[in-house]
Amino acid sequence: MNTNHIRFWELASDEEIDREHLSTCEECQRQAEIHRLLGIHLSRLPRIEAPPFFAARVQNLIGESRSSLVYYFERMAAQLVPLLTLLILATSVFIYTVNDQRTSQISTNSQAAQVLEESAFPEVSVENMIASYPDLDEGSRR
Amino acid sequence: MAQTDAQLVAATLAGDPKAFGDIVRRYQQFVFNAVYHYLGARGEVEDVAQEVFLKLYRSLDRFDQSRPLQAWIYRITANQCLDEARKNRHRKVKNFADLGEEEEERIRRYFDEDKHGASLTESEDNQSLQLLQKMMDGLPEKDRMAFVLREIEGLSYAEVSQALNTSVTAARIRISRVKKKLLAELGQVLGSRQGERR
Repeated sequence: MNTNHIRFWELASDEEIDREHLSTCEECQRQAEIHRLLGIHLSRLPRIEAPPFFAARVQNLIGESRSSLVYYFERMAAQLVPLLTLLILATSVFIYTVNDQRTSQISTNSQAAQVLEESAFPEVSVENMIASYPDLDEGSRR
Repeated sequence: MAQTDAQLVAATLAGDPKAFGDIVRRYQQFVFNAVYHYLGARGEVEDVAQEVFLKLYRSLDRFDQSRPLQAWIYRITANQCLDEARKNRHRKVKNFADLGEEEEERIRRYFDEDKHGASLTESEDNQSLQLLQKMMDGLPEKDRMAFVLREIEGLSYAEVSQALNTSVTAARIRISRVKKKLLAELGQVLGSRQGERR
C-alpha cells in the first residue's frame, strides 16, 4: 500500500487520486472531505450579469474619447514614440562621436603643447642635465 | 453567421464601431465575473470592467492579430484587477483568525448545509464570496488572481500563465499555494467544530 498522503492542494480538478490509499487513510479521507467542500463552495459562488446596455455605454465612451483633443494627442504620442526614440538614439550617437573627436583633439593638442614646452626649455632635458653635471656622469660610470 | 474575433478586430481597426460592441458583448460576462470574484465587491465591478474594455480598445493597434484575442483580454483583465488591488490595499479584509464566534458559527452552518444538500439563500451565497475573500487574505495578489482564473472562471493552466505573463509551472505553483491555504483554513474551522462535538 502507498503510505504517502495525498497532497490535495496539488491536484488539478480533473486529476485522478490514489483511491487505494484513500480507502485506508483517515487523514486523507478528512482532507478529501475538505477538498470536496471547497469545490462545492467555489462552484456555488454567485455569478453576476453585465448590465443590458454595458456594451453600448462602452461604445459611447469610445466615441466621446475619439472626438476629444486628448484622444488625438494620445494617438499622436503613440505614433511619435518610435520616432522620438530614434531621434534620441541618433542624438546620443552624434554627441558621443563629437565628444570622442574633441577628446582625441585635446589629447593631440596636449601632446603638441608638451613638445612645444620641451623645445621652449631645452635645458630641462635629461641629456642637458647630465652635461651640466659631469661629476654625476662620472660617478654613474664608476 | 457570427464573425470571428480576428474579423471583429480587423473591422474595429478599420473604424467600424459596431464591431467593437460585438467584442464587448462576447467577453463581458467573463470580465464581469473575473473582476467580481477577484475583488469581492459588486459596486466596483462595472467601473473596472469598463476600464478593461477601454484599455482593450486603445491597445488593439498593438495587438498581434496572429494570437487569440481572448488571451489578450485575460491579460488586460488580470492587470486591471491587480492595479485595483494595489490601489485598495488599505482596505484590509479580515483573516479567519480575526473572525468572531458568531461569524465562525455561520461558516460552519454554511458547510453543514452544503453537506446535507440544503439550498442557501441569496444573501448566504453572497456571504460565501466574502468568506472566500477572507480565506485568501494575506496571499500574494498574483496567486489570488491565478486561483480565481483557474478554479472559478475555469481557464486552463496555459491560459492562466498567459494572463499573468508567467510560465505554466509558475501558474500551477501559485494556484496550489492558494489551495493549500484554503484547505488549511477550512480544515481548521471545520475541525474545531468536530472537536466541540466530541
